[in-house]
Amino acid sequence: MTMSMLDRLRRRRIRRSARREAGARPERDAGGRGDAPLRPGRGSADPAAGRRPEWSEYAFGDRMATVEFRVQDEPHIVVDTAACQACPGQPCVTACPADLFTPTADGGIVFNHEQCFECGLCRLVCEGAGGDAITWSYPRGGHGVVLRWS
Amino acid sequence: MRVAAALKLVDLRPDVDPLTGVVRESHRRDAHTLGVSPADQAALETALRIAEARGGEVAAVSVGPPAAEAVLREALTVGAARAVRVELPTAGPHGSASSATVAAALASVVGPDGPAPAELVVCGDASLDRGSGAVPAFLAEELGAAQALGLVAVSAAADGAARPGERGELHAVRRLDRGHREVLRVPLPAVMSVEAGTAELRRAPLPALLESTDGRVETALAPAPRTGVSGFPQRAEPFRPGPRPLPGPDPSGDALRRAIAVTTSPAGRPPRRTVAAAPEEAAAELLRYLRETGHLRGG
Amino acid sequence: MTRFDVVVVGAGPAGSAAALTAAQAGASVLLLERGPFPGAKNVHGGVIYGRVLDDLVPRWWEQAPIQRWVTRRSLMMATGAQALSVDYRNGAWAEPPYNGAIAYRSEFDSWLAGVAERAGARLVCSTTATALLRGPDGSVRGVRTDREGGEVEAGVVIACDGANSLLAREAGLRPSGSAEDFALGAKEVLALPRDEIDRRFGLTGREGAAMEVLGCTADVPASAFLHTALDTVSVGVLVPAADLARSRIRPEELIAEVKAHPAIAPYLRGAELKEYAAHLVPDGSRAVLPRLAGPGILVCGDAAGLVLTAGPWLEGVNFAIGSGIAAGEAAAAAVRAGDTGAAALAGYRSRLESSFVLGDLHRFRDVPHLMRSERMRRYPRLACDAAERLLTVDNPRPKPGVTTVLREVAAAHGARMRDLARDGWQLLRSFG
Repeated sequence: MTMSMLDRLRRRRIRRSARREAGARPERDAGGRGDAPLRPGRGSADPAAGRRPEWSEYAFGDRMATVEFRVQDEPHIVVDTAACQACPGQPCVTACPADLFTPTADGGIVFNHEQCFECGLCRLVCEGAGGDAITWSYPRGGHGVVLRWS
Repeated sequence: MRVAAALKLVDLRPDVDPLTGVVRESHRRDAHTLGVSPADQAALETALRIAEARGGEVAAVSVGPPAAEAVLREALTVGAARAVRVELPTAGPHGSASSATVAAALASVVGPDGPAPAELVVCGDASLDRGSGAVPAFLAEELGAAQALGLVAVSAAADGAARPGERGELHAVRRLDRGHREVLRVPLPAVMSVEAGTAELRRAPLPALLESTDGRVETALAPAPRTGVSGFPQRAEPFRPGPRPLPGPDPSGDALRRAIAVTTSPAGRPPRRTVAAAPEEAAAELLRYLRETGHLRGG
Repeated sequence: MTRFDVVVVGAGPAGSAAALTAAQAGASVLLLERGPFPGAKNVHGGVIYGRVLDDLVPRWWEQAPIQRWVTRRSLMMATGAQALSVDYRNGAWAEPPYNGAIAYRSEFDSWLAGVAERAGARLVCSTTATALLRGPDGSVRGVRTDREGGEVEAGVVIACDGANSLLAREAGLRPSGSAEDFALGAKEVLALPRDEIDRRFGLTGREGAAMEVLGCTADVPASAFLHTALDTVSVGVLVPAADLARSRIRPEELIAEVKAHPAIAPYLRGAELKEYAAHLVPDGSRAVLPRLAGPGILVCGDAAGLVLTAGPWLEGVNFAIGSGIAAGEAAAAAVRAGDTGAAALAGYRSRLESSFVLGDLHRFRDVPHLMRSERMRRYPRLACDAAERLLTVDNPRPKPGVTTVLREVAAAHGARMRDLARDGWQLLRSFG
């Protein structure tokens, strides 16, 4: 593994944890599983304890590189970053399966349309959070994601 | 003015091993992966614009198997007046024919005696599948036409307008190293090749898509290759320059210095050399240099 | 302006089935697809139940691009390091008429659209329908596309434009949609040599395995799936959109969690990622089903929320095809009769009600909500813990009795035997 890959992974990891801290994530580390029932089995592993791998086996960029995108020049989704500054949870940041929503230092959101799956989840979670920051449409015909194995 | 656009059917999503660069067949999905490269699309758009600006029509030409008719039909929907598929007389896997063979096949169609004669042929600068960008050069040679290769901009307008009896010329821009640009005046007849960013292919209007293109793709058979050789075996691995000797580190230095010497690139560039010689000698000198640096193999 | 009797938007299974049915009934049909080929934008769990095609495409299994035939279905309850499976195998499913088929959507959807084309429908790809054309009375009269000269007049528009269903929304047939009504499906397709897949999943020839996994994502009520194609395995999760947003866990982390489970990891060891994909899935049976028809327009498949996500049943393609067939018939009949008003198209809904499409969705309407409830979500762990207590040999201590184990395990999970009985009865009832 080259230095740059390690670097990329590390940076990503840092960004993730920063994001978790920033978002009002329920305290699952402090109080164990919180609302979950007690664990009676003596030998069973605690499901909350580190089953989620520390490191994904793929860097996210490599994961997205498996997908073909016929990128359109103009974005088909427009995010009103001013509206995002007022949004407390910014659920789009973690929910987007392509990780296209990036928080900015001033509390807004930068959106990159190029690797969009066109799933529509961002619009749903934005409206779910009481927001109206996302203008959503499909890209022009023939553009956007092209899936072959799914 | 008659313009031809040369299009090549290629695999747009080859399965390349990320570690070795080998094109793999084991987990290949060939569904819907064939098409023309962005550079070829730019070539078609450039051809259409020039034909519109100067009055004339475009013929889309492709050397390839029957599957290539799909890309020719698409060319018809965006405004090409004719579409010709050229069949090579000798069988071989698509893409295995040499650049000279493909150029000869194209010339048999777009040449003055061919079924779709053209004063200007526009090609993509290099195909995606092991392309070396040599077809346009060979084609210019075949046609006895001027060549302007690797262009980043072509002015479609009829500037440098033809005086009566003259065929006129085109202006084009070529990318050079270090951000320089070269502006070319291209006399006609000419062969051009364009980079992908030159122009974005227009979208077909819906009525054109609904029109049937059945039977509109013509087929031509290329003449037998002159050399008797129609192709070369496909490389099983990607091209890499051959090995060449590098000086070892100075043995008198300590371990750290020797380690630094072998892991960093040698300081300074090799001295530049300008050769003033007759064209033949200069060519020989260039070849000798390329062999020396491992870019050319064999004697 | 160009005119067709029927314009179908979206060449997924619903659209192609609708176009095929309408074309067979003699209507002139335009089938629009925004992807460069049918299936380019589509994601599914992996299994297609094709019996719905029997009448439409006789002996479809001989021509459809099927990777493997499901002969092994298993339902796994997983928690922590434990897993308890119900594993069902049926060799007869490897022969016609088959039961479930594993296929890639890029191939399957293209094939079905090709069948519609051969029946006379006109397929135009790389073209997005951007808006509806309305008559003076507000009825739908056609669609506008994103191409030059792209307005098409239609007797009936059949909107099969997928989960986001922009057209149905524009027609006022669907509310804007909320996160509670959708789930996100995210999946990875992993390559392994064919014989390695055969060995790991215990398959031969064209046999395939379809596994559903409950409970293995600790923080969210996601269900996971594992399906085998010839030389790839797809593994993915289906997670309610609202829960995903609340949990602040990333979708690919959920997949990683599934893949890391000790009961699943051995199936996937050493596999190479070929494609990562995500898509919305309507959680149809929970939400009130939207109106399916308006004047000049019918809605099918995902666009109408016609997807069954009920426990072991994860079905969408067959519902899409079923609704597409009904819509194609209704549209062709309306065009023939010269009346495409809302009343004339109401036959579509009654066709669906008398078929499995609305029948199944109605029968299992409570299941998705129930399965996702906090109360039910404890059962995978409870079952695994009970199995552990029963199967751990704790000599020299004597074995506990089954009732004792159940009572103790239930108590540890904050439930009484009475609760178990009540939940069991409710679950049974919700499955009809």
